[in-house]
Amino acid sequence: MNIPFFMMAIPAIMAVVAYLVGRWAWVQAVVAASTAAVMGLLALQAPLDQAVAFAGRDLRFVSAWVVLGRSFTFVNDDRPALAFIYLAAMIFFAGAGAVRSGRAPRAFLPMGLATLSLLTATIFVQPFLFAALFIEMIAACAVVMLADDDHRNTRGAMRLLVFVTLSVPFILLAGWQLEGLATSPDDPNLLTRATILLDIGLLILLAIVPFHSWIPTVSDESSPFTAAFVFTVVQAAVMFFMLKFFNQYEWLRDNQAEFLLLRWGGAVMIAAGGATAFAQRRFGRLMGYAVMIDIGAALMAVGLATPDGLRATLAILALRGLALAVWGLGLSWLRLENNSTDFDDLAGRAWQMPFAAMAVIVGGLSLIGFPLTAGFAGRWALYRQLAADEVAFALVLLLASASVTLAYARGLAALFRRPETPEDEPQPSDGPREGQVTIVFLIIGAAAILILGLFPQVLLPAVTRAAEAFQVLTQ
Amino acid sequence: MPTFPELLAQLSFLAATPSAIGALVTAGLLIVFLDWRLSVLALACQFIFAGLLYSQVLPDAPQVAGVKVVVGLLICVQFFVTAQQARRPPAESPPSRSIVPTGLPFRVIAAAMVAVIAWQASLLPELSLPNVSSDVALATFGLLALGLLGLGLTEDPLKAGMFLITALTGFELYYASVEPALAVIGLLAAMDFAVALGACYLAIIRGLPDRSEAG
Repeated sequence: MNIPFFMMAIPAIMAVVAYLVGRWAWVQAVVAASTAAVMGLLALQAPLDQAVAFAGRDLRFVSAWVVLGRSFTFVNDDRPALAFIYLAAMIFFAGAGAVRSGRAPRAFLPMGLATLSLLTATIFVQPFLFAALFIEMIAACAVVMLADDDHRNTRGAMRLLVFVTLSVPFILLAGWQLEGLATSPDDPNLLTRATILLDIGLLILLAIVPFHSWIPTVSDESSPFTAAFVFTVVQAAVMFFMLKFFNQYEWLRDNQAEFLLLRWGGAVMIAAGGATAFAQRRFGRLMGYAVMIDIGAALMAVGLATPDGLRATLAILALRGLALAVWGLGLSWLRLENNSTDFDDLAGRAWQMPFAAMAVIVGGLSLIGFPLTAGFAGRWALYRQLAADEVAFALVLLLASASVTLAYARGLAALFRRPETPEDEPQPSDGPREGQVTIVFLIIGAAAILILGLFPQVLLPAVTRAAEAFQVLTQ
Repeated sequence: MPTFPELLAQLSFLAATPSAIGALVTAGLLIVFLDWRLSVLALACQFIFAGLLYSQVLPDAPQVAGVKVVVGLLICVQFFVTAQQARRPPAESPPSRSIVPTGLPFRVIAAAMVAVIAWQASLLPELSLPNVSSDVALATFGLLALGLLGLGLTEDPLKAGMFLITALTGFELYYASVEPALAVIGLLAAMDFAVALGACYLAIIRGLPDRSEAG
């Protein structure tokens, strides 16, 4: 069996199945989540280029699929990135069943599965520069997920498509320069041009300021749950793409200016997010700025070029997904009644939807990196690293987190605000309420965040194993 | 009926400077006119001119130029159908606005300026593109620059999609000369399709009537 082909084809086929069973929300969610789970197991356990006995037959898992001179190859170092993507997708797909009645976009699960197929291709494709083309196709799928009948403002989704499209030529041209380097290794111009092109391409792809504008716009205009999926799974794929560059090219990781650029890129991202977050009055937009700060923190951690920094990056990536999933699920329910995430429109809603409000509180605090929540583990590891050499960057991150916390505190105050007159008190029969299954999901998500906040060492083995795939980066 | 290589041979007198200028003019028309019919027509002409230029870039593989034209025309069909769906005027609505936009002088001057800059850039030795003729370099710079200018002038997903495709066509014209592998050309075509589909989807969503209006 050709394992790359199988792992790319199965999610695509299941996307069609999920579309066909779209009428039954839970069946669709189970199909999508179980597909992601099976793919995750395959990513972790599939024996590469070995014959194994399966159902009484000898089965050989071939690790490469060659198409028109290019190949899709599954190597052992791909396992952590694949496992992360599938696990995160499984959480989101399972949660989509709980959002569904809260009007998540109808196309979310079919397009999510199609995205999974393309994400797998980004990991397998060789030369891996061509992953940029698949990331472009992922952006097109994300557009379909982000805008729909209930979320008609298309500005954010369009910006995402435009920025990702604009990044592709730079990355492909960088690849061409690198091919030239193989035949003319003594030409320094090729290396300089490749570095500049690659930097510009990654700058746009990673949504670093000034190419960040789609993040707050998408989080404000689209379904919070779908936006959370894009910020988690798609941005993680982009981050792994960047790490792969550093892993593969010695000249890139030997260039200390590149790591300095990453640190400064992260700092600018954090500063821009922090400078605007405190003035926000909508949970959706606030989520966007919090994500910007989190992406900046992850970039800063990579820029440290230390094993601990790399582990902090992976922890931040993993915990962002959990926080965003819980926050997105809670916010999808809170905004259900008037399709708004404005603090004033959600005033007093915590008394009506206590579990959704709890999810927004716990998920938001984790995204900020608040102590005793899961997000704190990654941030604390980063603060400790920065405190040694880059105190100014640590202060910028701290101030930016405080800025989000300030805006968030105003939002929470609004959520718990009591009506001024007893007549305005919401009645139990007023408006929609979370369903039982949703409540179970919200409680599990919030509990996971709190447990990981109390016992972050649970994550350590997985993060360390994932970091081993990129260990050459820090040598 | 002539085969595609024979057709290209018959049109070879158009394959150099006229095609490059034609591609620039059609990109300029996309910027100047708002009417979707004219825009789709201009884009279709642009793909034909680009196809003729591909026959210069890849003289050994004329069928690739043919595939590029076919893919481009299919993208135009996507845009055409989408525009028809998204822009269908309600029965009682007033007559549609003029095809000439209010900022016409600005658009004409901006498009002309960018086209001139692209032309000058294609002549500069510091910016010369290896492996391609000056005509292809002119089309590459021109399509990229005019596509980016158009993106800055519109918020309409359909038009933005057309400008993205215009910029990508410019890039692909050059990239085909440095990476002529079939797999890459196929992937780039798939990417163009994906961009066009994304833009068309957003145009449809944007054009949906409000629920309150729909009753």
